[in-house]
Amino acid sequence: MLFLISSSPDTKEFKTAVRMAKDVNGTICLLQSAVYASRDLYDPDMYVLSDELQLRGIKDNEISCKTINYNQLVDLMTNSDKVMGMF
Amino acid sequence: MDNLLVILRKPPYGVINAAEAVRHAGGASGFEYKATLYLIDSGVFNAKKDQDSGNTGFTGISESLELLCDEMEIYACGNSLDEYSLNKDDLIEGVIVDDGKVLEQALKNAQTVMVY
Amino acid sequence: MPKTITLFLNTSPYSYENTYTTLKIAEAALEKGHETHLVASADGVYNFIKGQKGSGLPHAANGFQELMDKGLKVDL
Repeated sequence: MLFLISSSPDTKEFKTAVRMAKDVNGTICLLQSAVYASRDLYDPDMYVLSDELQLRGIKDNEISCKTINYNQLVDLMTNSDKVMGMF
Repeated sequence: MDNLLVILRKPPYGVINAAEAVRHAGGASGFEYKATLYLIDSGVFNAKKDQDSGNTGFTGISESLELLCDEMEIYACGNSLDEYSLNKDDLIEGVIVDDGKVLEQALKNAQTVMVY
Repeated sequence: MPKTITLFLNTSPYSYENTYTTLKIAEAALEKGHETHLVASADGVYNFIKGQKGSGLPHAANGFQELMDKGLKVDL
């Protein structure tokens, strides 16, 4: 199951989404304001959208997640049995 | 001249708060208010340098802040920067790091406070 | 292998980044040859109002119109 998380890391929504994803052993991809979390969280299985990092001035050397673009995100989505994109 | 304090608590782009805070602070400054923009919580990310809005259609927030720095004082909360492992070198030029004293005074001195 | 993707948008066009995210995912999905649908609900329907004058953010109606011309199917 793929979780697309978009809320800023300081929000309750973000924390709930991460907890829910971990509970079901889901894959996480960070979008929008959630990409700031990639500066602190180390999770080799977590993806982060490169376009969102560029928009926000976050460089590759600041993060430790796998970066993907929109094409790769669509592949992730179509290869997942379910996509949760509500947070 | 009245003092306007604009407090921005949200990061750029994901929600409209940042763009609106910048728009109102800039507008007030043009209408003879002494405007102060204060970045706090994840709002400090608005001042992060190297933002690149490219052809996304978004107006670059850090570029707007750089322009506003000539018209008003822009502060970033030091505690919030610490919380997000940011330091002054990560920010655009002109933004002043505050240890909390400026905010206290700005709150007391402002006739109007807008919180985004 | 082409698949069907259905995106769900329920926020207004100029308060959140969701419109931009939806546009970009839909664009990439269409380029990959997937059948791409968008269901707009709640304030998401405002993305399709005529005569929008938004600036400083991606223009919702123009963006979706471009993608509809490329095959995006929209239901409100």
